[in-house]
Amino acid sequence: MESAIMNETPTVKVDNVTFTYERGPLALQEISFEVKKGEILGILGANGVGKTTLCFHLNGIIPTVYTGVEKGSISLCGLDPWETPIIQLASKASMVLQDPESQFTTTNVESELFFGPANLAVDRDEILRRAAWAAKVCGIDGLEERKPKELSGGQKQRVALAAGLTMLPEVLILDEPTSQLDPIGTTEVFDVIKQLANTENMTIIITSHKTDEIARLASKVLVLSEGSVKALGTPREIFSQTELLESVGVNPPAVTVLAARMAKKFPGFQERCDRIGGIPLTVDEAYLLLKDLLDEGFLQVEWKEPPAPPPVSDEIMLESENVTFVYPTRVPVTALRDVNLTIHQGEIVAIVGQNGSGKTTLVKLFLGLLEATQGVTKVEGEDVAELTTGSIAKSIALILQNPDYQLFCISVEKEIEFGLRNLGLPEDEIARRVEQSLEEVDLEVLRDIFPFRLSFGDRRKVAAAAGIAMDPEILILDEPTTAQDYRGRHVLCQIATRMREKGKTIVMISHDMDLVAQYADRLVVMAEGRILADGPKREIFGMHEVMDKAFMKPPQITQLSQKLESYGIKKNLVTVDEMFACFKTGGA
Amino acid sequence: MAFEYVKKDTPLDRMSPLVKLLLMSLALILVIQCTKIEHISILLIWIIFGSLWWLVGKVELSSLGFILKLLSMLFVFLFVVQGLTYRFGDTTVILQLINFPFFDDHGNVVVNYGEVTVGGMMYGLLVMLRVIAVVSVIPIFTMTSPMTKISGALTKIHVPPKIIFMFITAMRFVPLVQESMDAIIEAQKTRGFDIDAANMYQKFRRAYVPIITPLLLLMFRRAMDLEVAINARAFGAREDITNMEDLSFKARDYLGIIIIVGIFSLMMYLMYFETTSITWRYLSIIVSTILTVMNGFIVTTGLDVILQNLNQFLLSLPVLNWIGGFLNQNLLLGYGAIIAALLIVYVVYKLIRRTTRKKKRVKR
Ligand SMILES: Nc1ncnc2c1ncn2[C@@H]1O[C@H](COP(=O)(O)OP(=O)(O)OP(=O)(O)O)[C@@H](O)[C@H]1O
Ligand SMILES: [Mg+2]
Repeated sequence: MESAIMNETPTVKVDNVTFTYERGPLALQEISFEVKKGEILGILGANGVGKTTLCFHLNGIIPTVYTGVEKGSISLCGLDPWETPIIQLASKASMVLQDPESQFTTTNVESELFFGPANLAVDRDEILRRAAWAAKVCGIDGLEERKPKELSGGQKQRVALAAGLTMLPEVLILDEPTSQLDPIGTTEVFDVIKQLANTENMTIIITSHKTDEIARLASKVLVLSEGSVKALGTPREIFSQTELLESVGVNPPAVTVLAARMAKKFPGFQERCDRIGGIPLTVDEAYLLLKDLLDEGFLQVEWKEPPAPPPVSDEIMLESENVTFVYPTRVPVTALRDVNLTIHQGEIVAIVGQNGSGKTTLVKLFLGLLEATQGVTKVEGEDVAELTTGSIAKSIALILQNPDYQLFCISVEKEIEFGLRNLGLPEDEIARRVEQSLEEVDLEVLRDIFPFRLSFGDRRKVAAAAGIAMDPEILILDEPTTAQDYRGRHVLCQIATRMREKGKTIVMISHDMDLVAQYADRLVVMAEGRILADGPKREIFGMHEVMDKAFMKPPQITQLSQKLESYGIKKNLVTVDEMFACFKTGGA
Repeated sequence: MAFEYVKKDTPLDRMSPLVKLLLMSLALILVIQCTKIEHISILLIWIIFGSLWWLVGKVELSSLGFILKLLSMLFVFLFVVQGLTYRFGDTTVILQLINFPFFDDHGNVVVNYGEVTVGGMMYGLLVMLRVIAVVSVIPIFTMTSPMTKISGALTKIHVPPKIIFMFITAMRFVPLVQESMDAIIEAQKTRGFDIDAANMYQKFRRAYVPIITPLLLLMFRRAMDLEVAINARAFGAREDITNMEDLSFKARDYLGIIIIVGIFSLMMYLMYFETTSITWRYLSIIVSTILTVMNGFIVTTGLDVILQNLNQFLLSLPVLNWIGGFLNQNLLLGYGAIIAALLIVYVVYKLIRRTTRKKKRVKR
């Protein structure tokens, strides 16, 4: 009886909130929504639309740490963040931040897990129990003694998440908690979140670019665009508006996009969707729908061979022979074991695999930033151990996940010149290359601006331009997707594709299977420091055992094509376009 | 990195951080009072005592690598400056670097600030020992106490949360700066910027700009983020935070306090109530005995003649005679040329090491 009444009042209520940062832009505009106890609210939107600002409002970071002008009202568990001290709010709502780098508040993993609940004076045994549980569900058990710098990017993020979970707050706010996690890890984390909402009645607010996961478990979805609410509703209501979503830079799950396109092409398809309760959001739903339609003869499969990857040249660009690498920490960590890999000129190779499997380490060996403990790494046939890092930079450009590690000049132009001057090129050549690379990334108009004033997406473009200007034979992208919205990821990959057309070699590390499937030709799958499989992407996606072992999951379209094999989908398809082309109206 | 906690199962590790905090504050109090040259002996005893703590806590000297480098530079500087300016105690001149005399009204030389004196060197030594006496106890605190234990202990003695907050931030910020700096150096290396290959001059002139600028900008943001993160984890929400570590005082803690206070009181006694400065006298006796024995050894074996001949020979060499002649002053007992030769060998060795280490070649 009582709980029924409790459920009436929302745990989080945001009413007509408008917010402007002190000496800054208008960040939120007339936002209103409610979240009830035990609900999961997914917040979607492109980079820079105010997702993080909104999260900061809910646990008092605004106005305590950042301030500004606010209109409207917020209530969280009956408290008003603008009236209540942050320490009181923090015991109700806890938050996991976007950037795992700066979230470590203590000096090792174990104490990090203890920090939150200890501050809440939770019982010691209970803290130990929670820490063990959180470490397990976030897949970091065994790393308790590690320091932040001894963890891979994804492992750091898992720690941040686990630390948030140990607090078991009434409201859990997660700001892109899985941006660097491997696919299975992501699914597991979302499952845990779902379970917390169901069993512990926890209220969860989560921002993410992973729409397939949000579609799977959110009870409500909020779409933000330029600081205001574009849409609010159940996942099915929201994701069926594919055009609206794409216009605000959010990509709906691939199967939903497929269904929406089919609904446009085949009259009557929409009615069939409506009959089963709406547009499909998951692979299973899509499969059941298509299966029925195919069985009935409403649709028919007409096999269209997907385009074959371009031929590969014989010239070897990167090579590693029996490479083993051990990090010389107190407890040495073997990050690579006997790795053999050759990458040819003109290939786009994606290195994928679970968190901590050694992908970044491998790339660092090629760049000469680390030296192999055993074995030889070669760049264009020359042994890396004998080369200066400066001269390797002539052959390989690395585009980092975080552009802020390298930008320091007063203008975009100067930034690009920096690398070229390091190479000691003549002035006219420098000017020519600056021009060319600015054009490549489409930043000509911003050439005189101080890079730090640019948006995150543009800063990354500057970093990319600086890399491209070096005119490297090889371009390496380490997790180009992290913290990037749907458009940002494609922009970088398209730049890479254009470079390949000029005969360059591209290596990308990514956990985004859709992106990998669309742009790469060849996949290298890593797990626990070893290469598990290496081959054309369509073949690799078919190797279920390897995929499971490496914590990978094929993209939605590939999963669907595997299910539809008996209907004449002969190979693993990877993009919506490929799949869409295989259907035509059936029967008469 | 220096000063970071490393888990080791030692008695010091298990000791309450408060005891180590006491050691630190007493070290500070002691050092403030050591202002006379005679106190060198007291500081030496304190430092020996401090290194015993290091042994018990299994703290490695090498973990201080960077700090030691910085300190050694400071010490050279101290010796030179103090040697040249301090004009009390023993005014025997060791070396006249330049001639920079000051005259009184009658035209007599009062003081020559170009001379390094024994008294000055002693004072330099005193200042150096004061620094060491404090610095050597800091790792005992930071490297053997996990941060959770420190903040727990501070909470227990009712230190205001604001101060603990600052403390946590500082403790986390040092490694964070280091991590960010490593990441930035790596990023700039991949843009053909090779700081390892640059020489000292290049490093200072331009090399640090591409590293320091992003670091400052980044750290500014990281500091904000860290504050957000600590707040988001309910820091300060309760007075009675749970202590994951056992913080109650044990027998070893009391023993630690007794030892620390005992030694400190002994130092104080020696400093203020032991009018004969007995420790200083013993130190002088020990040093002079060692010197006489060495001298006796050199003379009886006839080594002095050989050394003197060698020195004479070195002085006849063209460039060496100039440097050697300069160093061949009073207290160096006429062995200046040998010292000059050794110095030159050392510098040449360093230079060779530098160039051979850079064995990597440039591509194509
Ligand atoms: N500096 C370091 N010191 C010690 N161990 C490290 C260090 N950097 C990484 N490791 C460890 O080495 C292994 C490989 O790390 P690496 O960063 O190469 O993984 P990754 O495949 O890039 O992972 P992610 O997908 O999370 O980015 C991991 O177990 C990691 O914890
Ligand atoms: Mg990585």
